[in-house]
Amino acid sequence: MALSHDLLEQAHYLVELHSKEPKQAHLRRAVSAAYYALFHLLIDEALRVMTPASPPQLAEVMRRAFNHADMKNACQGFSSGNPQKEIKKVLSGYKGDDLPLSLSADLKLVARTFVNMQRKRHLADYDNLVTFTKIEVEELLDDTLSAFAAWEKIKETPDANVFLCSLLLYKQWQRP
Amino acid sequence: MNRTLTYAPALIEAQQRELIKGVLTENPLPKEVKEYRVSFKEDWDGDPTVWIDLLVDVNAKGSLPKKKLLKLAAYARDVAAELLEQHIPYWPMVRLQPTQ
Repeated sequence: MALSHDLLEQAHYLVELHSKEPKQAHLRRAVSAAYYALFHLLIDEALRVMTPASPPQLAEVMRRAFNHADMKNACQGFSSGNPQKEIKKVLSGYKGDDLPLSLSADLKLVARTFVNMQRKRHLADYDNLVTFTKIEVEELLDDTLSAFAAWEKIKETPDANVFLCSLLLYKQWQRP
Repeated sequence: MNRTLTYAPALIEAQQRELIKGVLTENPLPKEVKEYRVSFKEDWDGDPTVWIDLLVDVNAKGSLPKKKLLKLAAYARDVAAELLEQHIPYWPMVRLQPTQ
């Protein structure tokens, strides 16, 4: 099974450990695992559309070029249906849409969930003042599962391809 | 007008509270949600964020029956999506929280 799916499974396992009185450590690790599940899913998918099969090492080197901040920024634009200028150009080139762009609800859900989960992951990993409740973490895992399901529905679409490229190239496409 | 708003964060927050109230009026709170709370903060990267806590009664395990959880999680996602559609300037974090 892919790392992304293993991480999601691990997140569910952690939430159910000591289910009557879940430990903060388990809830926090569950949030982090769920975020990384989505992070790795999207990178796997981006590499699938952007890299040739040979040589296989190329994909693994490219994997390290993705960074959290650019992925978040790219996702924020897609979430609100208002991605950066270069992306709008590409999307409107084949969709012929006037603004606002008509992006699918599933793509917006994936993008929005990524941003949410990254924010929660920061809190889970770094902010000891925050207490996670079980219901909140269960909700986050359901959100992540929904994002996985939504991705399955749209992953072969042209919009998804543009989205995946933007995860890597967000900063470069910001140039004037 | 925009310049005035830039220097009046309290006014912007008041406007956003109204926007949130409007979205929650159009998407009525499920009966399981006892009340909601709104707070404005920055996220870890310093980006503006609004937290909308939906307060629900939970069972002894701090949880909800699966069906209810899924329903409420979907509701929270819908509210966040609607706020983004309305171009709220704060990133909306809608979450379920226990009433106590």
